[in-house]
Amino acid sequence: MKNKKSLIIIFLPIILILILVIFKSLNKDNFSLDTKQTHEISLNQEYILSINQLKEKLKASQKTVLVDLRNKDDYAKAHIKNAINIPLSEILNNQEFSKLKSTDNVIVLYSNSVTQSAKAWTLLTQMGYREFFLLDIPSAVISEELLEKDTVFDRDEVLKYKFQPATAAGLE
Amino acid sequence: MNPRVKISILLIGLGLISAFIPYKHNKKNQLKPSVLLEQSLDEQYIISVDKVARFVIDEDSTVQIIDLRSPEEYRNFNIPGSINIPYKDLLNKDYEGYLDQKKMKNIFYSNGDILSAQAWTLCTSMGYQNNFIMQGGLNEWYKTIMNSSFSGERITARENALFETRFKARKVFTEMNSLPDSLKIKFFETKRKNEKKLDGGCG
Repeated sequence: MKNKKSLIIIFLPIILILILVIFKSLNKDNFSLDTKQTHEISLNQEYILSINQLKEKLKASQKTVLVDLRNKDDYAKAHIKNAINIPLSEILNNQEFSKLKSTDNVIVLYSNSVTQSAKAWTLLTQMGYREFFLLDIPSAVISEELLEKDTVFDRDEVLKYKFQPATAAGLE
Repeated sequence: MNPRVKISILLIGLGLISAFIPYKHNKKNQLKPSVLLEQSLDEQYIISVDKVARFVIDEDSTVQIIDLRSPEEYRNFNIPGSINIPYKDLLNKDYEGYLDQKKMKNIFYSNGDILSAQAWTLCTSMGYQNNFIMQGGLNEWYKTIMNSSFSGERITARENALFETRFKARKVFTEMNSLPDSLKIKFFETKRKNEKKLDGGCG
């Protein structure tokens, strides 16, 4: 009897701590990659897709899913064909989105601006899922038939202008 | 049972648990995803090129404009008063002091929006404060500040002020970047020296 009691005294704290640890690791509101790893992944710029690269991806794999991060009103007005609407504000708790991730889909994000989708990309990549891409298009072109047209857009990170130095620079 | 045995079983148990706790080698992720998301949705962290133009003319010392492009691109031309932190070196220890401070606003820019949005998210996620994005990057800067002109019949006072700011910023930008490289380097050196002087004081 005395032996049993002392066993309980030993194992109770261990079990308690184990429960706490498990509880903490199950908390979803945590990043699984650190900023350094995320930064390294982002250096390889292959996750930024042009409209043509998206078309190729859609052709190559059935598992490519377009996710529209804009709000419901914008989505209702116009969206790219077959895109699923998941507003950015709901992305962390969205059932549909976690389902998409759990079935190994290739997820291509787009939004009103590449700023929004790039922020979303960085945040989500830092949470550990690797198959994210972002679509590099100006927001004004989002429409149902976008993928059927044969248009090419300027890439966001390419400078469209050239600096022209003043001919008589002031040399004070 | 011997109390020594009890204690050792307890310690071994604790040791086993701590051995299996996932090791986090970076404690820098100070924000939780939900907090970071909330800040990402906040429009106040996005700054227009017109505001940046204002900062450039005023030589505002409460802002720090950060150029994320490569050193070659930066040397070719840059927004006057900006400092160069190439995106690939963003997490380099040398730059931590520039980014992680509470005195100045960090305004990120690159050619477009993607790099600055990423730099913003990474820095904000690490708990750095006062990070902002220059909306549209240099493409927008060229379009609005360098190449826009007023068209219409009557100009309102507000538009007049806006175009005056743009015109001044255009002038500063062109003059500064037209300087030969040797003068530019000299300019930056004196600037750095002055900054060092300012940074001094009682530690």
